[in-house]
Amino acid sequence: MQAKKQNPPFIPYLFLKLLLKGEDFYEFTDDIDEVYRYMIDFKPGWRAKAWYWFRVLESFPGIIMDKVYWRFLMFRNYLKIAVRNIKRHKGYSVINIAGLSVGMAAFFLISLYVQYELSFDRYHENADKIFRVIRERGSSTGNDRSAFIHNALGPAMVEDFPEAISSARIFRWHVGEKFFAIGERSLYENLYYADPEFFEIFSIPFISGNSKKALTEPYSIVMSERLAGKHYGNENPVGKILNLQEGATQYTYKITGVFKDMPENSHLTMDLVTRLDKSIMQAADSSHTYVLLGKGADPDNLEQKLPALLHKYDLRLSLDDNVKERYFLQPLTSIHLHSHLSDNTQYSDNSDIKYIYIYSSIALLILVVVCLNYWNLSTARSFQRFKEVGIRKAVGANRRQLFRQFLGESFLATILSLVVSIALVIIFLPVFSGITGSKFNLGQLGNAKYFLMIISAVVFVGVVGGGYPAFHLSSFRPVNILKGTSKYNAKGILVRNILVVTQFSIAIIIIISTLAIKHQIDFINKKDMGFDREQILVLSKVKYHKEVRRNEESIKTELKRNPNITAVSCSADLPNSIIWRGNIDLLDKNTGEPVPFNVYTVDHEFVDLYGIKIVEGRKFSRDFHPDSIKEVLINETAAKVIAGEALIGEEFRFWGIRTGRIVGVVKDFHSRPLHYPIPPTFIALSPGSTNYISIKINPVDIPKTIDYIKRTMKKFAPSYQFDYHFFDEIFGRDYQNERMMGKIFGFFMLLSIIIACMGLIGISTLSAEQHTKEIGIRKVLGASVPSITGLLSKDFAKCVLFANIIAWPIAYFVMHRWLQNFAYRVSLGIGIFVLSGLAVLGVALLTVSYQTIKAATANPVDSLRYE
Amino acid sequence: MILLSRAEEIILLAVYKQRGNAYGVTIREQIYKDIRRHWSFGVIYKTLKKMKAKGYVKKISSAPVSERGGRSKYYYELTPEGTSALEKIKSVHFSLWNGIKKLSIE
Repeated sequence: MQAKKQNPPFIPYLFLKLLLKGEDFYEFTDDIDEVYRYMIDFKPGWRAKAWYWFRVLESFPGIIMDKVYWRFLMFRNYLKIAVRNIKRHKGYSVINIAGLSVGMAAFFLISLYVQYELSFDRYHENADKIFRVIRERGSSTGNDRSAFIHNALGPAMVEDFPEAISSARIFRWHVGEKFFAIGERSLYENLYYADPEFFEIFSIPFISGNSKKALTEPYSIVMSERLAGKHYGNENPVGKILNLQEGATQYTYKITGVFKDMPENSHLTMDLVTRLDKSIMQAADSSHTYVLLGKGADPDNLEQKLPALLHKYDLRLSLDDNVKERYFLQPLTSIHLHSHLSDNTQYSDNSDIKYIYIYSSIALLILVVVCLNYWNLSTARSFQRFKEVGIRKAVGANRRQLFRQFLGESFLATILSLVVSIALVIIFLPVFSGITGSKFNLGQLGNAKYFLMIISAVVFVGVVGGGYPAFHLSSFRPVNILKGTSKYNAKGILVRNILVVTQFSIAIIIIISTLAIKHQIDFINKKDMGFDREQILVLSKVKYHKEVRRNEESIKTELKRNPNITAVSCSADLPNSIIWRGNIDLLDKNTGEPVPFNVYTVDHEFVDLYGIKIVEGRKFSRDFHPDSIKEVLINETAAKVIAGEALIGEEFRFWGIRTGRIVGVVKDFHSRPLHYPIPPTFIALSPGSTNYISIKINPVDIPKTIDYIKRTMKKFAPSYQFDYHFFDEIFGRDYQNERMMGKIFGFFMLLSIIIACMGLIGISTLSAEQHTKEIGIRKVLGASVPSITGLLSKDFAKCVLFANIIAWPIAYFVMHRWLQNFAYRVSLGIGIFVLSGLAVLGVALLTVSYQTIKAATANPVDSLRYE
Repeated sequence: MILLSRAEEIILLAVYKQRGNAYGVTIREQIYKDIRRHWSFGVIYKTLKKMKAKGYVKKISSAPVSERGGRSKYYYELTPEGTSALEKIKSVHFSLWNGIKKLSIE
């Protein structure tokens, strides 16, 4: 009892134990203990205890200030040593910091891009509650996903499902399809139609006008700030009138609001929005529908209720029972990266999450290479710090302090590199956004999320890059160090070799991938698509353009008068891109199901102009007779799929209203990008459905020819806004993603080689230094320069060869997967593997050769003299 | 030479006055006698540690003490540098107050 009473209170004692160490702790506790024991004899126990408590608590500020003071003092010393080290070993520091900066800059650039891609549509307040309704049609040849659904489905959902709060449909006329006029001027913009609810569902702030009431009146229209500024300057356009000429009637629209420009990271970028009206709803599936769900609503549950709803209101679009329709609710935030809709069935050019994964993993790999490099260099160099470690330990530094010191040094290097890398990012951002075609900017650097990522990258590089070296350095035993015995050990060499192998494996993987991508791109470029791509000029945006349509024949005749224009063709689609157009009552001979045909509607010249070859039958007949409008050509794939001995001359119905008669079979051409197999296709003669005018020109004096075309169009269609592209440019857009990937990989390839070589320079320098004496002795004993060079290079060569063994299967696996994206692809030959392996080996040996030759040619007298 | 801070001056004087027996408890008591304030042990040790690094005081460990479970007791002692620093601050005080008999605001 007595003994227990005498013990000081445990909790404050524990506090002191946690805060103080060694001598300080005993001094403090023993001193106050002395008073405490004295007090306990004379005063009530609780008073002594309270006294003890108070002494401890009131001491906290002092103890903490003391700790901060000494920490800071030590930190200043570490910093001084670190800065001195950087200064003393300038070459090494430059290699180190340059490597870190370049790698980090690459990482930051890629993550800026990734963040930008991931940020799409997230700025809407209700982003996670907005869904787009998607329809999937399944058939024997695969699925077809589209955002065009029945116009009445959205309102029906709101009507029947309490969890669907509101819905909005949108529709777009492409530039040139409809014209608004301000006085004499025309507005060349995409024109969107939307339900009034649109601005309630999406967060698009209005600068003037009321977003809730903007589209409630018929013939009201709202525009973006950009457009308002362009046409009205500083004036407020609200209340102004826009005219729309449609045939003989003129409609007047009233501007009811101006909204803030929609950010670049939106899948929709609208400038002109008017109220959706009946004129748009003539076709059942003319619009896209967005639905806003209530809080906590389960979209999966809603999806399951959709078939019943479709049945109830009879909103199914396909009356053919063979076609299975499924409906999905697609989250707004996944539209940009996860859409996978068929071409032209939505209003946005979307990216693919696949690329985000590829680029993120590459960025991470680069970061890892950089860390390993740092790791490698500082470990290899550690013997230069032996003495310092020994002395620090001898005067009482413990391992933890040393660990902290070296880790701190790596952080210092990382932070220095961070500064350099941010400068690099700023310099290279324009180039990079040019490659990716994304309009992202440095604004994101201020983004809290991005800032957090930068910090974590720094911590990652600092800890991963500096952790092992710090561990390694702080583990030295002072006795050995100061006696000078431990300089080099087998474990260190093993670790170093593993690092070199890892680094080079990554470099080789990236090189092989780059080469494989390049091969595939070359393959695409050289591949015979079945149609000509050269010297063809395409006028686009002529769809539904009344003047062009009316004067189509005159335009063609006038154009052909120019000696440099050899052919002119009007068509609904271009040979490289076809839109799925529905079923035709021709049956698949194997399954008995209708064949999902792609349909080209073209004029007589199309087949000739694009050099599409006829393998059977004949071309479209030019002699007019009542049946000539029926004539269709089918491709070889279609000919194989549909039955019938007497293919030529067979008649069938399509689109419910037209009859076709097969007059010939064309050689297969790639009407879809090489990612997809060639679909069964037929080409129907159908003048007057023109979307594009293709013009074949002679490669002489092209500007003059273009000018002639421009004047001709002006003459026959004054309101047409001249918009032309070369066909091979349009063709190239199909493979934009691959090209971009090729470029980014090329850049990464260079980077990974440079970084790996920087590491090698450092290591080979040190290795040569460590072998100075050995080389000297060998030379004295008669070794030749080449044999010594070989000896020193052998280790590195072995590492690189081993790296190849690791890299090849990984690269093969990855690139094999990537190539699966293409229906038509190159095969991965052993060639690119061997080539990249040899290239890396060559570069590596070249890098080390400078040091090895220098070491091998050195005079042995110099190396043996010291000591 | 940098002048002593007020805390350093007070503690050094306490160490001087308690010479031979200057350790945590007695130093704190002496400070209370001198300035009528209870200082926390934390502040006293902190300042002593700093002054030890500056060379004003020496820390001497006694022979093992049985009440302390066989551990040493730590005494502090002025060094010649400490003494001259005290003398210096004394002369500074003297010249600061020289000629002032009574503070008053006219």
